[in-house]
Amino acid sequence: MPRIPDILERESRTVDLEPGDFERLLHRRERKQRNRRIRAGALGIIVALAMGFVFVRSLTSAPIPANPPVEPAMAPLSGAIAYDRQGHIYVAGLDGSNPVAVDDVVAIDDECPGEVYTNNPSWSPDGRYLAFRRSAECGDRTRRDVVIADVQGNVVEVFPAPKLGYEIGWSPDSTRVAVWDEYGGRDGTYTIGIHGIDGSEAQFEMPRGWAPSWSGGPIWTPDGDSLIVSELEVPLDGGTPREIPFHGTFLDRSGGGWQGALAYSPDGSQMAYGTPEGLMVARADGSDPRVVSDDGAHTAAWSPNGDLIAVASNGDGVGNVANPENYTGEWLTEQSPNRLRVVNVETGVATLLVEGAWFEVIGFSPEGDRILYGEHREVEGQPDTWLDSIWSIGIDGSDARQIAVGTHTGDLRPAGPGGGDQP
Amino acid sequence: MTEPIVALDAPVDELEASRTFEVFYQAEARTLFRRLWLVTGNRAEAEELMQDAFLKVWERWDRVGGMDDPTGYLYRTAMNLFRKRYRRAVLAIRRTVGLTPPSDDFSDADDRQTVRHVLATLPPRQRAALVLTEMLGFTTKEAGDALGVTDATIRSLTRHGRDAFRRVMEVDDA
Repeated sequence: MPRIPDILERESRTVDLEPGDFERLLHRRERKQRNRRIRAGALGIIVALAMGFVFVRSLTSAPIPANPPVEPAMAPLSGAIAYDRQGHIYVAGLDGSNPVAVDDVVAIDDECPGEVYTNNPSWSPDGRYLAFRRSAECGDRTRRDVVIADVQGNVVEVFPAPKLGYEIGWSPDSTRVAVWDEYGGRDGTYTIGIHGIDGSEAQFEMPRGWAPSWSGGPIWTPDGDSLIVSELEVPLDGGTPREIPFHGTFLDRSGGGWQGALAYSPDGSQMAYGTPEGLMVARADGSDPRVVSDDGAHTAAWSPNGDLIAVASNGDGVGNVANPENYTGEWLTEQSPNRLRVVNVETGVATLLVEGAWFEVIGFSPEGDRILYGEHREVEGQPDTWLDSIWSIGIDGSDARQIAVGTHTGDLRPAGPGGGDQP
Repeated sequence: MTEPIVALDAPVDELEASRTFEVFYQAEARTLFRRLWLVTGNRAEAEELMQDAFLKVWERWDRVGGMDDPTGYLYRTAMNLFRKRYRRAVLAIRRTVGLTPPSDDFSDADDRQTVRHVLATLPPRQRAALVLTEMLGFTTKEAGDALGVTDATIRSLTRHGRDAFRRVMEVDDA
């Protein structure tokens, strides 16, 4: 009777590498090295592109009008959190109450008779608009768009987005969004689309070698003058792009990789970001960095008053395992953000809130007393069975409440002058 | 025979290191490719994972080449890459509508008694657990480290895999 290893071995011998495999390895290595060189030498190109972009924009763009007033009372999308579950976005209260399906509220007459899906919700910083990705089945094709709607459900702007997958980055003044126009890995250049709520549109081509980051969409700097794209800060006024020491992708000694978080403080004066040295806080321009906590950060969010940072990380509480200085020779594999903590920015004191799953920080409640997070957790005793859910928990780790099931990502509607009507 | 992998005017140490890496590659590539094919069920994906694993090893060859067991390092690197890619794919599918799981070589098996048919019934993580423990002799702890799960999960994954084979064909499960 055959043994399983023998069966597998016999079966595996039915396939073989195509000739030239080592040459293909060399070519792959050369491509990677070339991309690195291009990245290092591409600043001149991007300056020209950026200047061209500004020149064209100066010829074509009209002033962006002030946001139209929005009456918050009874607005169907005035809930506090938006999340997508099984292809449909819901907006609900902070405790998960009164979920409203965006598909039922935001009507688009696109003459597509098939199923409609929505995902990747993103609130504007002033809380007035919800941007999201939408796909509609139109016979033998699928129409894919980014939609911007106000809290009443009125469509403010729709523009085509060929692929799904990446997040939508709002400008700080809530007048524009930036999205990668493409999805996936390949050689060549990628473009970022910048779309205004007034219908204005511009395309921004990145230099070769700069590809969409796995971490999500472009991030605007607090002054709205630049985009953070992978490890590059790109001024939109034609200034010189610069490589940045924050928002990096890091490898540990064993080959594990992870993307550091980047989050600006509510007043825009500071940034928090994850590195192998730990959770860092610096001025918004990257100057004066300091280590706040020795645990790295995969996702992070500031409290409304800027005193606390909620962090999903993968450290062991003693030292960040990705830090070479903490490497003990043990093989390291787990780079998932498996701990959720809240860190005091001033003192560095950290409180462990929850651990043992994949965590995504969603944000703080408007009062700053609770943290919303998503978790992707393997069900105990049931391998390969995962439960996704969104939770709310006190900043001291008490009173955890499950507010949604079947999803672990979402976006918290900002509180403030425009968004302060959260239930 | 392939061309030298660095320029002839490269430093002697670099040239020597590259030659020893090439020897290592020639010795291990085919086997690693076959193991990864069992895990992924897809030749292109298996070769891509194999290349990425070798490139990572190459970048660290000055250290890895001196290890007692560079092959073990290679397999752990490959499985680590597989694990991350698999997780990314799962998350992408969860977050993105309209995607269907990519087909693999196993799903085309039409003979219900074949090994490929059994493999087609197993999720990639179960295949990986079987390959690591049954073929490569990893302990459940080592396999768990490589796949980023507990050793209890590895035992469970492996048991499911063995059960699948037992259901279809007579095997010696000793």
